[in-house]
Amino acid sequence: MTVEVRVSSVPALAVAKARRLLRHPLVLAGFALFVLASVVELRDYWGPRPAFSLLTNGMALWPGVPVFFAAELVASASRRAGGDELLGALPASRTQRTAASCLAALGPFLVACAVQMALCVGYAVQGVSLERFPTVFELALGPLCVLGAGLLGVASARWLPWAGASVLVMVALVFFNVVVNGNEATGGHLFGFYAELAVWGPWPYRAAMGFNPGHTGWHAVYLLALCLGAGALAMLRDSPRRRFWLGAGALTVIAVAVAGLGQLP
Amino acid sequence: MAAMAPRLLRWQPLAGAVMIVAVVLVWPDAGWKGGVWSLRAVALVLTMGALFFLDDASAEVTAPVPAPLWLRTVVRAGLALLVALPVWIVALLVERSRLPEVWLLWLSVEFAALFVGGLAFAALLGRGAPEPGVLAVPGLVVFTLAALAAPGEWTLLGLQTTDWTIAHVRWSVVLSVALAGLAWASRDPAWRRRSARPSSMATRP
Repeated sequence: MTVEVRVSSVPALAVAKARRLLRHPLVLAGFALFVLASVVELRDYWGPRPAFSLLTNGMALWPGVPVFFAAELVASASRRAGGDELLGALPASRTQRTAASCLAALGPFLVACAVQMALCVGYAVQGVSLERFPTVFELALGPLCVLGAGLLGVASARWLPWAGASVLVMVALVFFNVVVNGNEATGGHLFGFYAELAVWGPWPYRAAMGFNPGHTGWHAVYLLALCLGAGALAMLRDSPRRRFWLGAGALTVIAVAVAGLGQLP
Repeated sequence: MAAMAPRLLRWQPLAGAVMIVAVVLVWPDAGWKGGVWSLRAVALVLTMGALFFLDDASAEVTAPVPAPLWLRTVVRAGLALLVALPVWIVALLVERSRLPEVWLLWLSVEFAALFVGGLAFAALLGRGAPEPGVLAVPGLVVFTLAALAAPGEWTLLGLQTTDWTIAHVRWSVVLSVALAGLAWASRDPAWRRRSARPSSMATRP
């Protein structure tokens, strides 16, 4: 009977946390900024190259970064309020709350998918000229970044329960992205999350100038493996089944390595 | 209070920010545009670290002390500035060789507006929470992302616009609003309580 209660509490908790995450001011602001950026690009800076970039990597920046901070704040809310001891008396364990937080990251991911689809429809209706339409894998990159941001936010809240730690994680991510972004010629930029698939060319960077080398399908698998790794990392913190989550984490590391190499030209 | 600062203040994030600034400054990036973005990163990182200086775990205990809230806020903000300002000056000295002089002034205005604006936001949040830094930092990040997404006629962080003077007039407006916001957020709630009409219970014999 106890087991039944525990099993059924996770989806209900996940729905509640997803609702909380989706209503978080940072998440709302992130998606609003993405819409604003799309409108501004449409009005002031339109061309095949910016249009392609907006579809493939715009979500890594605008909804992605705020979703990371929102997920971290939501997952750490009980600790920051000093309520962890009170929650300890409830039937749902800390592991189940972490699992629910991880599942809640699917909320912003689904919204990101919907926004991406709406943008695609908008492109089709407006007849936006692109050098070529992005593949399904390329369209998935933005929502996958949003999913990874949510899961990494939960992992950050569980493993680094100190003020300012989430900022440090974000700064480290930005640094890593800046480092790898200079390697477009070798495909090294695909190790980043904000990967530029189209060549920018000369100022004003609007013309279609071809694409940077690399396999974007493998890049989507690479991002998905990173997402799963972040989820396994979050679960590893409190779960009594540490070996299981260590094994899952090891598998995702292998998947990241294989996909990381596979995406190179 | 200054002598007790290490125990009263959450100084670790600002110390971490100073280390990140050191990495940013030694990072090799070519051209004056690289210098501009380096200094913008320095301003953002320093401000994010400084916001944690307004975290006050003992806020409820210190609320009834004779020093009013504005004084406590000014002391904390002043100590943050004491660390951040020398670091900013060093950053300007490091980058000055590759930046036009006017940009050093403009970027200092941007830093001042970010710094004061961030502190004002944290002080506002601090009226209802003992740890405003944790909440104010994401707010600052969203402000920066909004500045990046802003259309041309409202640009704050653009490099391509030829109307940089207008952009920095806007930053000056942000700075003025931030100063007013900081002053408003630092009003001591006790003043309102003192001036409030006594309740019927209090006037009973």
